[in-house]
Amino acid sequence: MVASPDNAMLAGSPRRRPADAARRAERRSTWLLLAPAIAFLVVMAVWPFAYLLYASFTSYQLAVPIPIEFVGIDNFTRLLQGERFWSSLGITAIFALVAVPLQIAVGLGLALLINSVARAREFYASLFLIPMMLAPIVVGFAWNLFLNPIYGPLNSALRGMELSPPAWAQSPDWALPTIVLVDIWQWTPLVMVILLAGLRAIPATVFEAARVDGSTPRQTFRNIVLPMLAPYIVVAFVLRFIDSFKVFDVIYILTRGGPGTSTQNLAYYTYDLGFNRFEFGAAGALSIIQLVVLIVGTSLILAAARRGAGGMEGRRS
Amino acid sequence: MTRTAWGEAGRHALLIILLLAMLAPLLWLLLTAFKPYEELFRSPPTIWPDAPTLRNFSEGWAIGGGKGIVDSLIVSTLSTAICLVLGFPAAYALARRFPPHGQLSFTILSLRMLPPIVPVIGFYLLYQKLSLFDTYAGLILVYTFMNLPLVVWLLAEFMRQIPRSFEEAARVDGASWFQLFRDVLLPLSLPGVATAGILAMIFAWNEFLFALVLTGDDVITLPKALASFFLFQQPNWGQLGAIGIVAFGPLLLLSYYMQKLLIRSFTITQR
Amino acid sequence: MAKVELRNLQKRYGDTVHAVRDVNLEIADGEFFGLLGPSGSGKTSVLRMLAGLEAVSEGDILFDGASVVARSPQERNIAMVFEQNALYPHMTGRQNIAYPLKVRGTPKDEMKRLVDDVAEMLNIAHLIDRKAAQMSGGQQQRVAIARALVRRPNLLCLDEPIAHLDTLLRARLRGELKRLQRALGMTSVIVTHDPVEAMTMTDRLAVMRDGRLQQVGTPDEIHDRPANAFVAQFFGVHSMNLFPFEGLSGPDGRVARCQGQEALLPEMAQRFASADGRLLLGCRPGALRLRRAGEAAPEGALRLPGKVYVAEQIGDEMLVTLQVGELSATALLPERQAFGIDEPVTLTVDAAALYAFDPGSEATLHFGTGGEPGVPLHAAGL
Repeated sequence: MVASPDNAMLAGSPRRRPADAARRAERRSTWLLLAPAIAFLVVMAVWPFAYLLYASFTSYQLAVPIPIEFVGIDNFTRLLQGERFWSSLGITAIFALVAVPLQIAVGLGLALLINSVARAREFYASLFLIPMMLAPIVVGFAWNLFLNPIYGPLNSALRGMELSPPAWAQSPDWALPTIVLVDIWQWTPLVMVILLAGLRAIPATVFEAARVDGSTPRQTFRNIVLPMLAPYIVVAFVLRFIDSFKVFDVIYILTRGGPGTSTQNLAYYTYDLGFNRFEFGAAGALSIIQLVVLIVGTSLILAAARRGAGGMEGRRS
Repeated sequence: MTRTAWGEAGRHALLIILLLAMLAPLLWLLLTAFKPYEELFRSPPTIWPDAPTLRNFSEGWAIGGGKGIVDSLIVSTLSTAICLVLGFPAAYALARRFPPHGQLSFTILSLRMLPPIVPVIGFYLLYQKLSLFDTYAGLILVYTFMNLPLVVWLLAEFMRQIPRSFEEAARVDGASWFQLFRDVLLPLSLPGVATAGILAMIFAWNEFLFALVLTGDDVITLPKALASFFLFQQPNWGQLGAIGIVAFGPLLLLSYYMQKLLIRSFTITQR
Repeated sequence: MAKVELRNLQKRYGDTVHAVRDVNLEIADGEFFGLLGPSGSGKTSVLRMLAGLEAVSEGDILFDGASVVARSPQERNIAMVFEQNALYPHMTGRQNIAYPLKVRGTPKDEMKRLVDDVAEMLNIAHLIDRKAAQMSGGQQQRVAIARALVRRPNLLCLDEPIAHLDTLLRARLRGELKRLQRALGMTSVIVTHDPVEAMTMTDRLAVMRDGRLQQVGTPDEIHDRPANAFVAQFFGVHSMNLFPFEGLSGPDGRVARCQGQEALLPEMAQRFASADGRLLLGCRPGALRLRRAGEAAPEGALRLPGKVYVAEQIGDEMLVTLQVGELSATALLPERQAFGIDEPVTLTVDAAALYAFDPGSEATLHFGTGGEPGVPLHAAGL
C-alpha cells in the first residue's frame, strides 16, 4: 500500500489506454448503429421544417403569381386576429378536453364490464377493438352512410318511431356533436385496452383482501380500483390528448369542416388554407402555431399529471 | 356474492348488445356492399339486400380499388422494410447503451406524437422542389419518417427483454458484429420485429392526409381512392363498401393479436 | 492452454462503485482455479474482465506473458459457460455446439466430427438434435459446456455454471466437470458463491470480499489455515463460530466477558489479546462441545455459558444452534443427545482447536487443530 500511488502512476498510465480504447470503440459502434436512423429522422424533420418556417414568414401563395416577399410575422398576426383561428382552436379544444374525457369514462365502463365477466374476455376485447383498427377514412364512410338523413338506417328507424331526427353531420347544430361522437366511437377502444392492462396488473389478492375486509363493491372501486388505475388513466389521457390534434380524416369525409366552419379544427383549417386556397404562408404559420399549442398543452397536461401523481402518493402514505 | 350465474349472463347480454350497437355502422356498410345500385337510395332502406349481388366487388376493383391495393401494398411494404432495416440496429444501440427512459428514447418517441398536419405543408413545398410530389418514393419516405420512431422504440423495448448473456456467449464464441446480428439477435427478436412491422404496415395502410396532399393522379393509395369516389353527390355506396371490405377487412383479423399486444405493452410500460 | 496472470487489476463502475481493487493472481497452465465470495465481492467482475466482456479499468491481464486487455473476447480465444440463458434458444443443441466452429469457418465434416466427439464425452449425443427449449436445465448446461469445450480454448471461464440446478444434479455435474477438466488439462476459472463447490472442484482458489482478495491457496489450506475471520466464517460446510471477548481480567487474565457472559479462557488465549483487553476466538462447529449443568468440563478448555436455541437431529449427527447472549453459535455433535429448548448449557472448546484472530483487523493470529501458527497471507503483502 505504501508505494501504490506512485506505482499506479508509473505503471498505470500506459495500461489505462486499453480501457479507454475499449470505451471509445464501444462509443463509436453505438453511433454507427444509431447513425442511419438518426440521420434519416433529422433530415426528414429539419428539411421540411425549414420550408415551413420559410413559408410562414413570406407571402407564399401558389394560386396568385405575385413575387414571394418576406412579410415578417404578418401571417401570424393576421391569423391570431382572425375569428376563424379562434373558432378552430375552440373546436380542437373540444376534441382534446371534451371528447377525451368522454372516451375515458366510456372506456373505463367498458373495461370494467369486460373485466367483470369470467369468460370470453379476450373475445370481447378483440371485437370492441375493431373501430380503432379501421382506417379513419372507412370509419368516416360507414358513419356517413349510417347517418344519412334520407336513406340512412338510423334516421329511417327513428322516423319509424314517429320522431323527427336531425340531419346529423349536415345540420349546423348537430354536425360538431356528430363528429365528436364518431371520434369517441373510434378511440374509446384504445382507452379501454389501456385500462384493461391496468386492471390486469391489479393482483387478484387485492380484491380478495378487500372482500375479506368487508368492503362493498362501490367502496372497492373507489378506494382500490380507481387509485390503482390512476396511472393508466393518465397515460390514456396524455396519449389521446396528443392524438386529438390529429383529427382530420373523419372531418374531411363527414363534413368538410362545415356546415360553415362549425366543424373546422386547427388541422382542417390548416389544410383548407394550404390546399384549397393555396395560402402557404398563412398555412405554414398556422402549422407552427399548432405545434406550439400542442407542446404547451402537453406540457401543462404532463405537469398536472405529475402533480396529481404526487398528490396521490401523499394521500396513500 | 354478486357474481351469480344471472349476473354473469346479464353482463354477457349487456356486452353483446353494446357490441352490436357499436358495430352497427360497420355491419350496415357490409350489407350495403351486396346491394345493387338501384337499392342503395331507397327510403326506407332495405336491411337485407333484395337482390344480393357481387357486382360491386368486381366494379370496385375496376374503378380504382385494384390500383389502390397495389399502390398501398407498394408504399406500405417498402416503407415498413426501410423502417425495420434502419430501426433494428438503432434499437439495439438504444436498448443496450442507453438508459430505458432516457432523453434519447423520449426524443425519438415524441417525434411519433407529431400530428401529420404540422409538417405536411413543409413536405409539400419540399416535394415540389425535389420532384418527389406524386411519386412512390416520396410517399414511402414520409411513411418511413412517420413510423421509424415507433419501430425503434418498440424494438428497443423488446430487446431489453432479451438477456445479455446470449450476446456475450456469441462474442465469446467468436461471432463478428454481423454474425451476432444475423445469427443471434435477429432470430431472438423476431416476434418484436413482426410486431413493429405489422404496426408500421397498418399505419401506412390507413394513412390519409399525406396521401391526399403529397400525391396526385399517379400514386393513389386506398384511402385516397376511396375519398376520391366520395366527391360525387350520390356516391356508389355499394362499390365503396366492397372496396372497404376487401381492403380493410383483413386488418380486423389482427384485432385479437392487437389487443393482446396492446395490453401487454401497456402493462410493461407502467413498470 | 495458457498460464494466466492478473496484475493490479482494478474495476470501477462510474465514480462510485469500486468493484475490484488491486487483484494480483497467477493461474498455472492446466489449473482449475476458483473465485469464491459472497455476492458483490467482485468475483464475477474479475471473470468478465478475464473473458473480455468488460473493460479493465486499470491493471493488466496476461495470457502466457502477453497482455490481452486490448483484445476482444474472440481474439482471446476463451470459452465461457454462463449461469443461465446461454444456449441460443432458436438453435438445436448441435447448432449451439457448432456455432463457435461455424463462425471460424471450420469445414463441415470436421465440424460434425468435433461436435460428435464432445457430445460423446459429455453423454449428450442422444439429445443434441433437440432445440434448447426442449431440454431440461441440466441438459442445457451440459450442452453449454460442450459448446465451450468443442474448440480447445486458451481459457475456460465458468460463471456459476451449476448454481441454479437442483442439489442432486449439482453434485453430479460437479464431479463431471472436475473429471473433464482433468482429462483435457484445460486452464479453467470458475466463479462460485458456494464453498462446497469451490472445495470439491478446484485445485486452488481465491476468496474475495468487497473487491479485494482475502486469501489464495488450495482448498485444504484455506479450510485449515484461513487468513482472517471472514474467510474462516465463509469457507467451510458450516461457518466457523466466532466469540468476541472483552474485559480480560482475573488471575493470569483467564476471565473475560462475551456478550455480557463471564467465560473462562484457556491459558494460551491471553497472548492474543489486544492492549485494551479484547480477544477474538473461533472454532469449527465440530470442535464445540456442550456440558449440562453439573457435568464437569475438561481442564484448560474454553468455557462459556449459553443456552440451546434449537437442536436438530441430522442422521447420526446432532446440529445444535446455541445462543450466547445475542450471539449465535453452532455445534456439531457426533452422538445423539436430547436437549430442551432454552436449556442452559456450557459451551466448551479444547484449547488445541481454538483459532485466534486480531480483534481489530480480524487477521488470523493462531490456527486451531489442523493448522500450525504461521504468517497469515495478508501480512505477507496480499
